[in-house]
Amino acid sequence: MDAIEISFDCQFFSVDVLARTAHRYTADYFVELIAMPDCLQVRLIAKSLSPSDPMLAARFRNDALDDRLRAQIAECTAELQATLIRAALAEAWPSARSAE
Amino acid sequence: MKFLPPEAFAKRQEGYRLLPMRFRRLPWDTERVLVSSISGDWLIMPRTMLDALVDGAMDPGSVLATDLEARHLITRGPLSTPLAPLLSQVRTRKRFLQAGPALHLFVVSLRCHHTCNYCQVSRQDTAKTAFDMSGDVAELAVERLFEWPGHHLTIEFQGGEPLLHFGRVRDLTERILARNEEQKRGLKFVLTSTLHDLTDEQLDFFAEHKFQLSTSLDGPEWLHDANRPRPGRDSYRRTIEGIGRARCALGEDAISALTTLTQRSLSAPQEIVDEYRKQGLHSIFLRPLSPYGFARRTAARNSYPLASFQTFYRKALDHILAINRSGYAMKEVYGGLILSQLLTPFSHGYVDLRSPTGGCLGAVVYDYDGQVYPSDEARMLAAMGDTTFAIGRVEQPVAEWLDSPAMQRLLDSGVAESLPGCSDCAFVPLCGADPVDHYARQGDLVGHRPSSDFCAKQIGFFDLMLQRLELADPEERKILEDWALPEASTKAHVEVA
Repeated sequence: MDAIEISFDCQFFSVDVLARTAHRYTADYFVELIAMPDCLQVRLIAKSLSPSDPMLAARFRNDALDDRLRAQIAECTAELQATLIRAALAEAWPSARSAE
Repeated sequence: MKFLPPEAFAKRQEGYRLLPMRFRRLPWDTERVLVSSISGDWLIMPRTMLDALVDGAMDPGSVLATDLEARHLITRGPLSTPLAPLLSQVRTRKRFLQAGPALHLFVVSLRCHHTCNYCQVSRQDTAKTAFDMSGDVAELAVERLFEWPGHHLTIEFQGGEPLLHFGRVRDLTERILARNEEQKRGLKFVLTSTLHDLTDEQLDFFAEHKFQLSTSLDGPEWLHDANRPRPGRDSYRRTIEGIGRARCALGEDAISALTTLTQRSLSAPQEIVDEYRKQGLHSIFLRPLSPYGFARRTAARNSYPLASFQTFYRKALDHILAINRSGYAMKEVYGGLILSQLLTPFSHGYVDLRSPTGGCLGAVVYDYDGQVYPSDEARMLAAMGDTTFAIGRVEQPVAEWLDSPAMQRLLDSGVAESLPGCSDCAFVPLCGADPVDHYARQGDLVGHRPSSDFCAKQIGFFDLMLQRLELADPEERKILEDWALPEASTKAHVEVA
């Protein structure tokens, strides 16, 4: 089975972002992430013998862009999210009856 | 009188700040995304606008910005302003955590007169009374029941066939009621049964204690009898007779039914729905097979890919909606639960749709032999020889169950927001974690989301309901919105599943 190779500019995509995107494909593909001198390369090999998806590379690129945007959002909001969850669940103790 | 121009009434704009959010492209329109807040409020917007939003390039005075702020996805004022309502929303969404488990399942016997090959329970022959719950176990189970903090407890009797050990159902009910004279909890009793061979004495007892009865009706006679064989091959006739007698004694709303879908069921979506209408039922729960118990042994014969279930479900849903449009109200229960998550700020606490997991935090199973499990599925695994999720025995106090290694395992992998693949999913505030299911299917409590049927099923339901909502005409939208609201006739379904 031939591998599909997709290259990404490391100035725009981090290894973490591409690893997240690649993980989404691990049900149907064997995945390899390779750091090249000037780019990051993703290799996908289909696990099944069914015909390859002609839109695979395009789909992966779109998904990678989405994961990049998620990383941007996380960078802006991660601290606030942790604070909010801590505050919200701080009161999630069983009600008074448990102490009776 | 002269009014100022509209701009004069707009909030003074000083930019905006992002609040935690997740997003997902819509499968039926990939140029748009669903964006959800930390509490599960959401809106749909163009993907390009999301880029602009995150880059700080959105006009803070725009209508979209106002909508985003209303849903706590951004704030345009001081950061502290939206936090209190957002916290309140998160608490409301997770309110089920405060009460402890509400659903307590008592397995009074493993005996059953059916030999259903999809059965996920470890049924036993009707003569094997060694598989009945003893009085000692029952007494201790009731002690444990009242150690939980909940003000409202649902007690569900199941089996096997619980009516084969009706004496224990009666005994447990009376013990619980006696204990409750001092405890004053809100109690509800449910019995999951074939309803075959119901006696007048049993019906009187159920009427006296306002039992909800839940039964299995797999479809028309040919399908029901093929799915649920028993000596005499008359399961359908007996079930219909039982439903009729129970309705006369307890009232229409006290009886509900659900269907388990085998491979042969998938060919008959309309027929199954029509059977429910024919029987005057106003709710139907279309449940795919579970990979447990006897069902695993017969998987090759009965099971099917998730995609086949989803195709079936779409056809059945179309038919159910057509029936509603014709004037007969009928609700698909799981679709209703998904819609309730999407359209209301509350959580119903249904075990598949709650995080942290519903296992032991939402439901507890007291098995006939005194073993305790966090879910029915965990009990099935134990019956197959895998006691990974056996949290304790009725002789131990609840505190020891909660300290058990099994409970620790559940908690470690039972918070969807922290699981790989779930943590950045736009549906996670509305979805659930099921470590037992992932362990059963994938051999790993955390599970591998990209190949998880649980995940694909949940996401498939959310996508489908969102798409139906968006494309619905006003009449269909009203029907779907009604499904999001809880109603008495479907409550039993929710709690027994």
